[in-house]
Amino acid sequence: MITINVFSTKYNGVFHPFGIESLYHLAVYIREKNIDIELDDLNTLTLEVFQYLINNNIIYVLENNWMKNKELNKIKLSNNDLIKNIKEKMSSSKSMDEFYDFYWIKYQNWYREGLENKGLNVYTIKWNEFINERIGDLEKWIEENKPK
Amino acid sequence: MYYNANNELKASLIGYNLTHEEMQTAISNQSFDGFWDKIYYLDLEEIEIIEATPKSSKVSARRRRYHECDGIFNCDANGSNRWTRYGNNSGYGGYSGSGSSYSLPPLSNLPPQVAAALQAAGVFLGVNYNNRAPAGYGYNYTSPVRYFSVEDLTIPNTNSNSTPTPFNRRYFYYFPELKNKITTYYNQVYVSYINSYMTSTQTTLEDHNNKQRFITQFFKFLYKLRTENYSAFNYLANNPQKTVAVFNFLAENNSFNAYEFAKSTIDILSLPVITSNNKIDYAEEILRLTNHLKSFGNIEDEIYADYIQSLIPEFNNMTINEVRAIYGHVKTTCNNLTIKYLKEIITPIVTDLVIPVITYALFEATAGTAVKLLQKIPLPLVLRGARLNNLILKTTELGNPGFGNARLIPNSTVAKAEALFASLTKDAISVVPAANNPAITVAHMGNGMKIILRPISQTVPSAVRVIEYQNFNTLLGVDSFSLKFIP
Repeated sequence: MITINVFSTKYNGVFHPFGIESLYHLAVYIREKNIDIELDDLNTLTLEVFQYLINNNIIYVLENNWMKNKELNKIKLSNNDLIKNIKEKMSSSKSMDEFYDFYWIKYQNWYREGLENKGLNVYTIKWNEFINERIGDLEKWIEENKPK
Repeated sequence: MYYNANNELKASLIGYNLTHEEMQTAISNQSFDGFWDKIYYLDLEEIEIIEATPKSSKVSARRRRYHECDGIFNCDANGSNRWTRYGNNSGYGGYSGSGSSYSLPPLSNLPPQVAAALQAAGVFLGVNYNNRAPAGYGYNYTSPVRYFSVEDLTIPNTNSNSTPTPFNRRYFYYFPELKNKITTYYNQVYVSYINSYMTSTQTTLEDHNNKQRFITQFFKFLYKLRTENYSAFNYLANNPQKTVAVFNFLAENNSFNAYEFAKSTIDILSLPVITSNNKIDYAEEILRLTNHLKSFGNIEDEIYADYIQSLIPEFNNMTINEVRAIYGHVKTTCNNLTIKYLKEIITPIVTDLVIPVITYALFEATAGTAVKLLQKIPLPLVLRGARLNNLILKTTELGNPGFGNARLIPNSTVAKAEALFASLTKDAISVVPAANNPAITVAHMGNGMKIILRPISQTVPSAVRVIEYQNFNTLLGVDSFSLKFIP
């Protein structure tokens, strides 16, 4: 069983608000860090990180019209239902390519703006340096800054 | 007698203990391989005449040579003049005779097989096989043979009726660099036995004649160029490296076509960078440059030339600055390629040639021109395989790095991004909307590789379009790489 510490420097790229764009890209990111990972493990890890991000109100799943994703547009899913939905989709997928069309994510405004106020922009690529110099403890910063 | 590598005249006797048949074999092989243990030499500088005390009659001398001193062979070790066996067994891998332990003779400083090669080529050692030893001695000796050096070269004069000037006395007014170049060229002697060139200040009559012929031809070519195209001649005179490049090229490719090519090359290189306010002037120059590429370049260059020529009809809709910029790119590319033609056959893949134009389109040109430049990228340039891969690779170096596997392409518009996507996917297997999201366009490029166009980026909200390369792992090392176009 692989476990993951999202705040380790290995994985903390998932917190960069101008990086990952969808569940697919999240999976790609995690696979890059674990090249030979099995699909089941990859799905588990991806879901684990995704859950953390969505439960802490850092990201939300996009339901904009451009998606024209009727399935997601019809109903506004609760976080739990969304996770359940993703699990079902994952269990029937043979590769992560298959959920490319689904679950586009966006970082919450409070989160992105909070970091932007600290000097982050789309050209910030030295993420660890940024965290160390401007934020310090990211987990603590999230706790302190997330909407109560 | 022979000249050694230091150009000193040396004298030695070489004795061949060969039967007539063996000598005939060596002559027909142009090599003493197989007979080295039957060849001896004697340094004449060191010779000390010892009275021959033959213990044998002339008749039996040859047979008994190995056993008794006959004044030349097998004398008492007290004598300083020793015939030394041409051992050819000094560890260079040559034929090693029957247990011969003689050291390598100081006939030259070369390893024996190289000496053999030179000998076979008629260089240095200058064995005259026709000279026989006086009757009864049973061995042959060398006789003086004339060798040629760069000082024997002559340079023709402008007036073909006047006598050519000896190389050493010739003052190279326009091309001072040629003096050294010609010397270097002359001193490269080809040795077929080792299929390579060696440096030597001496060469054979035949080699000298070939070189003299080329030098004469080359200077006549320069004189003709001066009469027919003075500006091209002048360009050469002012660009010594180019002169040397042309010299090298012609020395290696001595044919009518090569001279025609050299003429066109010098002509193209000598064209000044024009400044005009008239687009037609640029169009004419561009045609001239690209036609040169089409005549002498390879297929990659031809595709490039076709692409550039297809832009000419669009000049009306471009600003004069844009036309000038395109001309500038073509001029640089054409010059670089032309110099490459002279030096080597390998030319860059066409995508490398086009990248400056694409970069210009994305970052500098006005929207309309940019779209034209991108749209006109021809199919052969984006054929799946090496060319498309190379182009994709180049695009991942455009703009600025973004976080993750992304590049941010500033100064973008929807039209530019879409035009680039359309060009990149001209050879796609299919271009279809994504199954669950018609706003996403997916171009299938084979083997699971996809180029995807997305209308927006979630995480870079300002991006107007995203082009994503999916599953190009072999090429890009990652599952997904995005070009994010931001205004």
